[in-house]
Amino acid sequence: MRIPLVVLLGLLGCASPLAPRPDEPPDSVGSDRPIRAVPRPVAADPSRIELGKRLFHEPLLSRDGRTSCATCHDTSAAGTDNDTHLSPMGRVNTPTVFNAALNYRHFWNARARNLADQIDGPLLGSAEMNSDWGLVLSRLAVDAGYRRAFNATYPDGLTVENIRVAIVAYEETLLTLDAPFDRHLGGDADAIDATQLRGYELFVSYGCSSCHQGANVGGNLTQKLGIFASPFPNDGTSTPIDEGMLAVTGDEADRHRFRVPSLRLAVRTAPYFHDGAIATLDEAVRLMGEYQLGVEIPSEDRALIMAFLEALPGSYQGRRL
Amino acid sequence: MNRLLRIAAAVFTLAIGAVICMLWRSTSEIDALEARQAALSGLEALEAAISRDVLLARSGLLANYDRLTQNVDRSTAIAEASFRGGPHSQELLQALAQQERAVEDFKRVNALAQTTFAHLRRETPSLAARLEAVDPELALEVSSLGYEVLTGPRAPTGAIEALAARAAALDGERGPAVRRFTSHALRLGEFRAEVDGAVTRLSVLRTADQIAALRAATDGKLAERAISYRRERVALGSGVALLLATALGAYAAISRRNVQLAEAIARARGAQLEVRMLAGSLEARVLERTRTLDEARGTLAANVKELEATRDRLLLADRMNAVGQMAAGVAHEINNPLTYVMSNLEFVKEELSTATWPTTQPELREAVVGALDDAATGAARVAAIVKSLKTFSRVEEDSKSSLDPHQVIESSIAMAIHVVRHRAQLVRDYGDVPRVVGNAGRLGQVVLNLVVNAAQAFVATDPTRNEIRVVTRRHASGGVLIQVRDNGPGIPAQVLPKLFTPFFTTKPVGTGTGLGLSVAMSIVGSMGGTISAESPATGGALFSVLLPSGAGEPRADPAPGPAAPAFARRARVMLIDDEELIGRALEKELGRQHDVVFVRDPTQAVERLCSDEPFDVVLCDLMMPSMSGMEVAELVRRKRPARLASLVFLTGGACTPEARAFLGACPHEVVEKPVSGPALARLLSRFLGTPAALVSLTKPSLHES
Repeated sequence: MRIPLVVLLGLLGCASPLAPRPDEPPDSVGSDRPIRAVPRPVAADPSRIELGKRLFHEPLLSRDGRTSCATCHDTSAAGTDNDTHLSPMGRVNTPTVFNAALNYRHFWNARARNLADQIDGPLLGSAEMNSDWGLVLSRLAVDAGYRRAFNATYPDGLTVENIRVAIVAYEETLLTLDAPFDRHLGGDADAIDATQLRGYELFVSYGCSSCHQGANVGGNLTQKLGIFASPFPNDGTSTPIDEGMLAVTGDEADRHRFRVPSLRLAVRTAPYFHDGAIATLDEAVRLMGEYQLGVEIPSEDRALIMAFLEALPGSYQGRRL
Repeated sequence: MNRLLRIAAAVFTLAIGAVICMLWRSTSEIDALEARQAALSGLEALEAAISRDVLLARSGLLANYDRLTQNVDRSTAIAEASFRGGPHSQELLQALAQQERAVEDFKRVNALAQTTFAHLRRETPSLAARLEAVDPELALEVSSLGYEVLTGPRAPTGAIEALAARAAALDGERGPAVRRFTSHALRLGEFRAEVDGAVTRLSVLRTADQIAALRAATDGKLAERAISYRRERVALGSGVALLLATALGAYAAISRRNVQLAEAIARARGAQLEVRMLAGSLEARVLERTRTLDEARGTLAANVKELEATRDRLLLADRMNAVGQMAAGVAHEINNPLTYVMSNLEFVKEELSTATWPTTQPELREAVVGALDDAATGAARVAAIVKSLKTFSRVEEDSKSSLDPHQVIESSIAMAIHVVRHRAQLVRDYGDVPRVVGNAGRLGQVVLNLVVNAAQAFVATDPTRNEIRVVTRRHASGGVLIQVRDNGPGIPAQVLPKLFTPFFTTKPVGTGTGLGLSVAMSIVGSMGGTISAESPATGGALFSVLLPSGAGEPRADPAPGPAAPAFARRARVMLIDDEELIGRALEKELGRQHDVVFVRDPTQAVERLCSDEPFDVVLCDLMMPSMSGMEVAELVRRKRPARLASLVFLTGGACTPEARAFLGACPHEVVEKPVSGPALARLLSRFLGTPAALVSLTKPSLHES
């Protein structure tokens, strides 16, 4: 008779739910400017990050057992292989994995809403890892190290969802911090030189920053390629990848519409454009002026703009990219 | 009362359990509703932020799209997490998806509008300046058109197209420059129209209406739930209060009853009954009274039985005491003459075997020896009876030691086996038993007696059917239970009470002394044990001896020394006894090996003892008319205490209490009459220090037969 009484009294005291509140977006220096600093990574379970890092570099995830995520997204370089790959949709330029977490959509045609969704693309893509989740699970399940790590990290151990979560946790740490321009935004007068500052002013006044803005200098909106002039021939030779979001939404308004790429590491991630057709940054800037702005950007201005772009890469784990 | 309390407690517990279930449901529903409310608040806040950012962006006042983009994504995420599958969720999610697309379109065209606007703002003044020199009219037109495009609510499309047509005809550098200007101005108009369209689409999405509808529904349900939650809480509170009260009541009742019970135990049985009458029903009271009466009757019967047993025991003890008194006196009177009868018989037999018989007729010689043997046997039997009688009078005379009961039983069986063998089978059923303290010979006598009695009880001597079973067990009291059971005719009921009475016997005259069982009882009693007899319904007789277990050092009985050791030298022995015949008999017995000085008068003996006359051993009678052995010892102690070491008392039985007390505390050796030659020889050997290893050639004494 006594024990139920205690339980009852205990129950009376524990019924006041706490209302969840939406938290504010991660802030960083320069939020009131077209370009703001790269935010610090949010705190995450270190064991997940470690596991994600291992998976990101794990060739066993691919069918031939030779290709890992890092094969193309080389984190010891600029997060890319600086190359293009021929996929069934056409030739695709490898984007960098650095700062990918800051992008609000993924792939050139923005078909993945977040990093977790994005994983399926390269993993299942026949031109990439050509794998499937059953294969991945069976390979990881026979590896005692992975079994232990998954069991230690997740209550439900090895699952597809947990693989995604681990890889995303790792990718969310792949941020390039304390770029010279970010330090400039923070008030460091010596962070960038006068040339770079002039380049920034041109970048804004030409209107580049209308699309290439935010922490990732792009990556937070989609835009049509070819406003004042078009790179795409009208002879029907364009590939599905050239069609941009049309291939995803089926909406004619989305033809040649792409996710605006980040310019954070533009100086390190040649070649340029979705198909990697443009080899140099100078040419890319020139074409951008022609296609998107309807202006001929003089070469001296292009040089200044490129000097500014040089101030955008930050450091990852103490290594300046 | 107890049952009522239990039922009440069970009912309350069930009721409270039900209320808790309802409360739990209400609580979780309220939790869910409140979570939805919080989500709706979040969505509302995000909606407001999105609308604000869109308007800011349209005016070129939003620095970048990061916040707007994140807020759109978060709206969708919150809605997915909190409203998927719920009522109105489909509409909400659809509205949010449309909003996302509209915002995305807005961002895109707004970016183009901003870009184009930035270009025109930068390009128009420089173009006008360049045209100023060559065509001031055109410069003014471009300037004013640019101003209108950049600041006006709507682009002057007609004027721009007219300028563009004219520009085609312009020569030199002016044509392309003006055409680029008109192209940007026209596109800016297009982009602005698209921006307006996107903002309009956003404003008609009614996302806020969906949120408001959801909020209204959630608020209504929450209010409903909150009311029932409060009701249930009140019910639970009352239930718990009632349960508490019940529990406290029960506790109080139980403690009160505990107190009452404690008092009742302390009080008399009547008070107990009263408390139970208070607590119980009429039926319980009747049962209680019946039980109490039964108990009382049982107690009374037990008391009567115990009283009867006590009376019987007292009667028996009284009778045995009387026998003991008599035996002490009789023993003294008989033992003295018996000593010299036996000594003389022994002497005559000895002489006959060694000396030259004055007759040549061997038949006569054999007849004489036979007659002497018979006489010795008779005398031995008399000695045995007297010795048995003396058991009653003496208390602590026997040396006691720790005994293994089985060893004692075995030696008794060995002695009895020739009696038993032809009559019955003897079965041993030994358990694991502790040792006992007592005299091996005495205990052996008890067992021997019981076994022989059992053997003699059989009417027909048929060893295949008759059985004597000797059982040993560890008793519950920790003692040893020795049972001798036979399957003979058993003990008649009228005989049973008299069984341990001295001189009671069922055996034919001359077969038994009638002392066996009473002696056994006396021996067992001196060991602190009890002996009882019964005639079980299964037939036969069962004798049970219960002895307390004896802790302490197991000590073997002193091994009997050699019957009569040879002596290294002749000893000087003084013999003090008022009986001439005893003195002479012992003189003859000892005289062959030692020098015996026989003194009848104790006074004279004391005189000689206090002189320097050497004596190795002084044998002194205890009970003498003129002076007792105790007085002799006292006088000698005063004058020559060293002599006391060689003093040995002879006694035919300590018949006075003083004598018994003296013997109990006596530091001197005491030898009982009738004394036999070998016993005396052993005694003397101790005083003379003769090695025990020397073997006597003397024949066994009568006493030990």
